[in-house]
Amino acid sequence: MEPIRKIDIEPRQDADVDTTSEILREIARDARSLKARYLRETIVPEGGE
Amino acid sequence: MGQETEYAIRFSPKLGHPGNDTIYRFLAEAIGSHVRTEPGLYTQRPQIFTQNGGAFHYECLPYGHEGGLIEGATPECRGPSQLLLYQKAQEALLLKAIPIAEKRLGVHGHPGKLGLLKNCRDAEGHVYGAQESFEAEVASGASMFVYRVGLLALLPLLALTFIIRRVAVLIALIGLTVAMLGAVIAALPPFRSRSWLDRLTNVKEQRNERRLYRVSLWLNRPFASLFSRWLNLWAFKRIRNHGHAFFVSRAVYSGAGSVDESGRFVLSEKAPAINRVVPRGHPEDRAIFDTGNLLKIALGADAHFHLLRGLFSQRQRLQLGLADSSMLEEAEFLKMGTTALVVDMAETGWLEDAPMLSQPVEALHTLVADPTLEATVTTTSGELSGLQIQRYYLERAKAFVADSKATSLEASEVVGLWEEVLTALEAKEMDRLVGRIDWVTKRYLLEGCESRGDAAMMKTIDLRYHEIGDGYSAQFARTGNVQQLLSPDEIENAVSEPPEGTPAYARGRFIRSRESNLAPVRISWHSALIGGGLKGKLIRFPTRPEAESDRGTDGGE
Repeated sequence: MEPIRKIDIEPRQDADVDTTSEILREIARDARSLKARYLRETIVPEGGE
Repeated sequence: MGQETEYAIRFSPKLGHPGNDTIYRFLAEAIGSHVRTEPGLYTQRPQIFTQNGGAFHYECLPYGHEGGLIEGATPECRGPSQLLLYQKAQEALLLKAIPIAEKRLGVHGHPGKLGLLKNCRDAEGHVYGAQESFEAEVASGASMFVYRVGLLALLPLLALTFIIRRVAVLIALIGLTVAMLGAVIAALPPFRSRSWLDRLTNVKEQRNERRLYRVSLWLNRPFASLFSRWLNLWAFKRIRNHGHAFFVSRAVYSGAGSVDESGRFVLSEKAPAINRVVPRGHPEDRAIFDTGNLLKIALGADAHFHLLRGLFSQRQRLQLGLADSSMLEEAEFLKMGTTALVVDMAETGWLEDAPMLSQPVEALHTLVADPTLEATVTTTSGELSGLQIQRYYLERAKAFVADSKATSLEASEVVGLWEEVLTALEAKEMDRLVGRIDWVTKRYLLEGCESRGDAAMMKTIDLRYHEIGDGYSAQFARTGNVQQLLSPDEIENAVSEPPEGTPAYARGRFIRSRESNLAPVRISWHSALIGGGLKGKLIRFPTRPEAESDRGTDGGE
């Protein structure tokens, strides 16, 4: 993939996290922990799609 | 305009999975605890209408009861900002219902975590998802006359299809009765063989239902095929001819982005599965312009004859099958706003010189496979990229809006945003579009989370981006980098109030004003049936909000 330049915008006053980087780390951590189980649980069986 | 959105159900069970049909039942109950709801009139599928004029139903094939999806339909809306509002109201209502349904599932022996994904493609490549609808002109002048004559000519075949279906049902019932009798005899002590009886009495057995479904498709096939071909020849031809290049290229800003089965990033979830411009009545067809809604009306006319009249109307529902589910508000607004403008321009002859593609489906696959947006396709105006095609339509829209006698502020906003987004894409200033355009934002997350090389992680990010409530698009919004067009108060109001000045208004007000101790009622998009059986009273909702005189009553349906 052609990389997209990373941005670092100041969060809103009401944002409950410090930075965009922190959210990205949270998402990465969550995705690593879910992976195979998440993919399996979100399959739409034949007949549903 | 309106939108149907399919939500994939994610349930992480602590014990057993209850089946998606059960989950839908609890979700529908939970929705009913927040707003007034009434059941749908058509009993083929579980459906509820809500007090804001929208609806939810359980979408599955006859042989896949436990594996279905939840479909939410917005009320009919008058413009893109109103549609965005009611789409977000639908999501807000589902978000309120999820924890209640989760709790009720636990009480009934199915503890687990429930989530809904507003997406179009799962990890195995099954495709489902959003469909957009616009009221549009089917044809005009002599074309309209020919279209109607053709429909009339097809009616005898439709009637024959109904007769054959009834005979087939009769034969099946006789066959089933004989088989049941045989099974009962076989189960008597001298011939004890319970497995026979079990097999034959298990009417929900998926294999049998799949066979019945295939038989029904086969019986409908002659009419479905001819009807679809007739629609392809005459219906919405102006929009299809002069607008298809727009639809093929609009994924440059309306695409949700997707990691395909080979790990490549593509602009759209649904576009790679599109195999036709218009369907030909085959169940495997996935078309850019979907006439399946019109076919359903025709094939269901034996039970709901009055709906058949609508097929002869000049203005009908144009349904778009090529549509990704947008998570970001600006992307949703832009997608619906630009499409509404193109439909209007095509109908009024503003797109007569639009570029046309000789191979639209191949061109679509080429354009969505290239996130650099540099791929070109052959058009009647030469080799053009997706951005160049979009630029043509934008320039026409600017002139169209400027030429309008009554300048619409909303149309001007759409054109302004369209120009801003296209300019950023042309300049490859993608950072300006993170948090505004879905495929750009999803790719930013894939890059930012350093998922490259880990196919399962990439696909997880791709899918969980679409989970409503706490998915990654919602988590990313907490950074403050996502443009919000709506306030929470506006959304909350739209959960319970129907859009004014639309056909949904009377429907929503009717549902809201119903006393719970009155006779049972069943709702459709056009009418309400109060009471049941032959004594049922049918109330038709006005098709135009101003036309209160349209309201009338007649006997049971």
